[in-house]
Amino acid sequence: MKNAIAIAKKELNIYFATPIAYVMFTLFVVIGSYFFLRLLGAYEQASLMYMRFNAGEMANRLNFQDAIFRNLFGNLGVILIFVVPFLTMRLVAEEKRQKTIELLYTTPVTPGEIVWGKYLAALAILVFALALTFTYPLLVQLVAKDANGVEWRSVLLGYLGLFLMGAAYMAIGLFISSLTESQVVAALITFVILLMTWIIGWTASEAEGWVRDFVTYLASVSHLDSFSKGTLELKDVVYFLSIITLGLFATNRAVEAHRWS
Amino acid sequence: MSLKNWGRIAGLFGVVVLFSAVFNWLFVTGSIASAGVIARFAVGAAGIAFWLVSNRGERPLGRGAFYGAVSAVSALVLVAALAGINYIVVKKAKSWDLTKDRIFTLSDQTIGVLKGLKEPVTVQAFFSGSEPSTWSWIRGCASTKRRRTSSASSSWTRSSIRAASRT
Repeated sequence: MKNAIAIAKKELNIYFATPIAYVMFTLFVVIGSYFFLRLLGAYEQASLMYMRFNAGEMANRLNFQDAIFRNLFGNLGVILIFVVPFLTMRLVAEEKRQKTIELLYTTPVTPGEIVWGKYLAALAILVFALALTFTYPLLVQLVAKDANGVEWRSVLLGYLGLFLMGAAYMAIGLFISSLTESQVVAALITFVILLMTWIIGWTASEAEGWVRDFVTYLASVSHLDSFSKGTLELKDVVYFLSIITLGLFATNRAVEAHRWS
Repeated sequence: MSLKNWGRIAGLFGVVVLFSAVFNWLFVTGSIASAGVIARFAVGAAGIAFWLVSNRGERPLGRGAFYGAVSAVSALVLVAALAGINYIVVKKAKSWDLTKDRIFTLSDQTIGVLKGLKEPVTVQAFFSGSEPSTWSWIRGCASTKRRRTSSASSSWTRSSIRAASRT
């Protein structure tokens, strides 16, 4: 584990020494803020409308979680599909291109430690990116200032969902990165696969019976919804953990295969 | 262009056609035995076979091939195990409502009524097919109730939704 942490530290240093991480953080926050402001505006309009028409019951039902954060988490989940490929593309591909992976193989580090180290660094970047968006609920709480402010338990659950989803995406990206020497190819293939896990859900309504259930289950974004609305479903946690396990296992095999080839 | 490159193109084409075959099977014909699906599978397999033959030299032999085979088998075992776990978790659904007012939890009275049901319950919902959020919400409600009682079941058909939206 010590070796894995050392590799993670090295990867983090590289992340913050290159502009990719900063550009990705900026894009993530800019696009996230755009959606947040749009949702905040819609909330304001709805609340004004209910007051104008004296619809007390409707106004009481209006809450930040349903009106803002549930949709916001869904949007952030989709943005992750576009951001993650650029964060994972260089993890192994760059080592292979520069032949520095050969140096890693000569050190007493196991393939498992290499994979864990790189994955931990990717997770740290993910946590950092998500932490930047934590200002949204903080801002809402600051303005609301009353007991009916932000439902923190639901918000934190939404972040847990985003983290698990991002971690699953990172595992896929890391695996793809371990298959090629080209960062561009790694980013493109990762993007296509992540996009497929999103758009496959659209086709579910075209199918019937077990096929629909199966396709709906495969769609990653559908597993985020329970977290976003404030419920913790075991099947969603297991789904994301399964992808992470499979991604890390496949990466481990791919890294080790390079040693044997 | 060399035969190797033609092989790579054929391999890529084969993978795309194989995906198309699966898509066609699941979403268009609904049957694996249809001529279109079988033809796609055959063309896809032929493309991949051509790639394998024309790029023989790139594939590992000896120790590398053994390692590849072990990796493939262990990956298949892992996929099967994960699929099994996911299947069990879906069948034995477990969820926790962490919202402040527990808005996604059925009240004790509702659970009592549902447990008292003796006959199967049929719910007919009529709504526009262009409302995916309503659709997913109703399915969510149905699954919550289904977990609470064996008397409630739900089946959904596209044709009935289309018929409903025309009404």
